Amino acid sequence: MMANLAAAIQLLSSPYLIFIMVITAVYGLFVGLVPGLTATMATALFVPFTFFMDPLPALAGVIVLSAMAIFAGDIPATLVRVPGTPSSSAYVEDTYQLCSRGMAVKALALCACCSATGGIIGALSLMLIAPTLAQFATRFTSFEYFWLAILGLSTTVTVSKGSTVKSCIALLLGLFFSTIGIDITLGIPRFTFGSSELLGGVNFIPAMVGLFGVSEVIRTTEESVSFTAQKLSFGFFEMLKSAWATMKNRLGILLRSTVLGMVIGALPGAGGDIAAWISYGVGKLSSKHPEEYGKGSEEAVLTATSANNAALGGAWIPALVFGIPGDSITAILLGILMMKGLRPGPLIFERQGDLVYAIYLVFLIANVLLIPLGYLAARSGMQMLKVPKGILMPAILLFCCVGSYAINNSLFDVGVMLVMGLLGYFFEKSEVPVAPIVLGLILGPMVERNFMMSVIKTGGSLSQFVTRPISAVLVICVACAWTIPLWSARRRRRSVAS
Amino acid sequence: MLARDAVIGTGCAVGGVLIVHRSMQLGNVPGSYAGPGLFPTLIGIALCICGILVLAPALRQKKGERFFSGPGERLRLVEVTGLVIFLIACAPKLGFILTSWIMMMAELCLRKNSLLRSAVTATILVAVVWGLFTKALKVPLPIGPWGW
Repeated sequence: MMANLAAAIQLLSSPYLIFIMVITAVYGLFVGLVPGLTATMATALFVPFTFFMDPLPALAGVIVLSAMAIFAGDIPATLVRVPGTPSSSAYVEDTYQLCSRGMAVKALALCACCSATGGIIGALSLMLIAPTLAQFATRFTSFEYFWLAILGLSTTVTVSKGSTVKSCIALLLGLFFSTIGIDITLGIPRFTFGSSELLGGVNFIPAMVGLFGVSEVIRTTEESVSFTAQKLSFGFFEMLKSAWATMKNRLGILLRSTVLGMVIGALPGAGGDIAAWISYGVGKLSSKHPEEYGKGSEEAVLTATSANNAALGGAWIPALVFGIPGDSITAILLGILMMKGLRPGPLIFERQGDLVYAIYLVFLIANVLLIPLGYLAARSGMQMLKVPKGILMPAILLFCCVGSYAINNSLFDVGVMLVMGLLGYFFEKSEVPVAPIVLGLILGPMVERNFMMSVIKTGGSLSQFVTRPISAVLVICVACAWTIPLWSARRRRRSVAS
Repeated sequence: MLARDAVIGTGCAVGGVLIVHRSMQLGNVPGSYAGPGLFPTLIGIALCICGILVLAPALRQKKGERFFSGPGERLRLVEVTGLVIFLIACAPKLGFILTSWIMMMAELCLRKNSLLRSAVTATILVAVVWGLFTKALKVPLPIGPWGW
């Protein structure tokens, strides 16, 4: 291990590599700041440049840009309630509420520092327990994935503010939208009504941009703007101090969220989005002040944002150990590895141990870099609040339209964004939370695919859904996710009545 | 009656029934109860139940309500919808630059900016977006018959 580590440090000392990391960091921050552009898209756009690079700079570039893009997604989410990436949608309400109360610096400081801490702990754990965790991840089959997705869906319903029935409606609509397009079992079109554009389904990125961004543009009239005065410039140490004030009393929560994010990230197919939601849900269930979640809770931001960056590191575990991508970014990365003649698998640790350790170290560096670069991005992003709403809102609308278009180079996606924007606007007016729609869209295919696979595998028997040990544990977690909030709400009502 | 909840409840209940009806026609995997229609059917049934659960208390309540917080919000709804539809309809014919410039001009003027300020802002915004997306990110934005 020490020999590999020393070789890895030598590999990382190249000025060219440092240059690539800085450039990709800036690129990742820019992509994350634009609503509609995701870390996955940024990675895909970066691939052609990797043709001309050695393996390590190529991999380092992707790691740095994805970590930066995921953090930068929090900046528009905090300032204008438009999540830059899907991972930010779990806690967008909390960061935006903090901003509305004049605490934008606090929200951004928490996002940057907790993302970095989550990422650093995730990277250190990646070094120590990657093979063991990967072994555990292989015990997950379609039954366990089904329950994991159900757990994610359950937490979004139970943690959403307001009526549980209305949250269920939002979630069911998201799940329904996810069924539009070619069916995965027999390959027949569902709910497409003859439209060729709908065959590919409803993309969740334009949907997310519409639900949060367009609805906000409609709702924000000049007379409705009521942000408490913000402090627009702040020092680096002031940011660290502000984040530390919240983090120091919640180190246990931070550690729990990071471990949770890493474990979920290590499961192939589950990414930072699910990690953020589940961590948010677990945080609310175990919080002393669950009523503050969704209303500008600092703890909520801390718990979700640390989990989504930790999941980034976790996603590398199955990718390196078995060659199974943990999420869409690692899927692209596996392509880059193979293009460079590297075969992921258990042997990569023996044959290219120095490269593997260099990857681990890049993770650490990326997350350390996230704090100063995140500070600069947050400081520049804060200038957005100086722009009069009469100019800012049209600009956001234009970015929303072009960001949605850029996903598939299709104006149809702009239409999807508009429809979702109107739906989001109407739902918010009716006190129906919109975030469950996004999670329904993301997790719907995972739920259906794993359910159908399991049912077909067992010839229609449902018993294995509850009799397999990990499934049984997940079933208990799902049951807890539904019953604990209802039980605590009842207890609160009783104590208020008495 | 709470009109918003009544609309949502009715919409969900009716939508749920329609989803179930449509899903029933999708067929199953041979020899199994599962198939393309199973998942949407379950969603439809659940949506219908949730719709009724929202509708029932909404019908019992006698509370007046205002949907829009003011005339500005109603105008904003119509204006944003109209402008995005304009962009979708005209961008392939007029190109992204011209369509988005018109869209931005209209939106900025409607947000009470002066004509000069609107024109300058719209031009800068469209140029920045065009440059970032087409040059930096290589996204082929629609071009008009004149090649831009």
